[in-house]
Amino acid sequence: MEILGLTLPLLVLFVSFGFMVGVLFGFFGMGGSFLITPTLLILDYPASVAIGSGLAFYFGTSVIAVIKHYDVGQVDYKLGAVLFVVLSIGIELGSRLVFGLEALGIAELVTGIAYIVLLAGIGLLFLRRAYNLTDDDDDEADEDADDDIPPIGQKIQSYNVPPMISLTSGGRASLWTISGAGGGVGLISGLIGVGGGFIRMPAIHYLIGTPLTAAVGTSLFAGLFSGAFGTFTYGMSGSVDLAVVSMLLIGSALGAKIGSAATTMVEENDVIVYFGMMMLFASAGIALSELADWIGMGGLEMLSVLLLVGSSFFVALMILYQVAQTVSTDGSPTQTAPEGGD
Amino acid sequence: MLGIEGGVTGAFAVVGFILVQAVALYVAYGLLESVAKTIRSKQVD
Repeated sequence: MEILGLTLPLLVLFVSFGFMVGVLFGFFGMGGSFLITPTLLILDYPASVAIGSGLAFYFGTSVIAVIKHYDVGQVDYKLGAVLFVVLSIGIELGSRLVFGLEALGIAELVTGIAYIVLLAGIGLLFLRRAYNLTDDDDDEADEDADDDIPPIGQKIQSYNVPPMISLTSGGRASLWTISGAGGGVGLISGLIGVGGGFIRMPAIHYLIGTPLTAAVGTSLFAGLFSGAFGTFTYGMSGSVDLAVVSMLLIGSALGAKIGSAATTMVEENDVIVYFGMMMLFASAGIALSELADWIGMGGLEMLSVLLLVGSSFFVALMILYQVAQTVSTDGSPTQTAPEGGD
Repeated sequence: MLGIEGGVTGAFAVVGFILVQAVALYVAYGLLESVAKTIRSKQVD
């Protein structure tokens, strides 16, 4: 039996996969959507359909997230509009770089290594943050750790080269800093073919100096247009599978609600560790996949899929488990986090 | 594969479809959440 061109098992798989991705997205405000394209590739979808559908899914989740952040007024529209322009330029440059590397025959190797380094770096950053949080027991210290801007970030924020742009949060930032941060992130996004929320949001917070809550909303706002642009581009060649995207969105919209509500119930420190480890496992998975391609071992490919998808499912399940445990222990009503769990 | 044929019109249709679906899902799950909260608060009372 087929519904919308999908068999029942595939339909269930996409809804549940979308749900898991949504839980992660709702809880962390990032992470998860980068799993869609590799998973579709594993399921034998053509590369253009996998990338096009992945971008369309990213666009859909961004729409939902931006509406949510609009409700609580955490979007800097002016900064978001400037970022969209520089991000688009960066993405275009990144994709041209890929074509140049393809001509040299080293595109897959370079993008693979970029992915491995990025995910491992983010994973280690999260684990370090969790380690710092463990050291500081009281809540006040936790807040200090959240706002701890590294010296390089402080130095970049201190540059006041005109023209300056006023931020909604009250501060000011140089257009050059915004262009450098946005262009750099766009370049990386274009190079490795992802939405890039997991690097865009930290860049807005640490380099431009936007407060964390506004950085999340603004990152999503800028990403929304990038996602729409990407969806439009792939839609032009008919490379978006609407059945797949719809099923993923149905699952992820529900998952995001639960993930967002979970931020008020789950011990953040525990989940930061899981998320950091998930990123490290994902990095190892991609490294294994590259190795499998290189030495031609099919078994390693399966192990890489297990690491990539399995670790994400594990983290999402841990969040759900802790939510279930908290609800059954306290019996307290669920409250949605105002900032959308970011 | 359930897709819309390419071209500018097709691309606009794809973007519009996803936009409408995302908004509809946001509204639907929001309603569902408020119904669940109402039922829960009635149970607590």
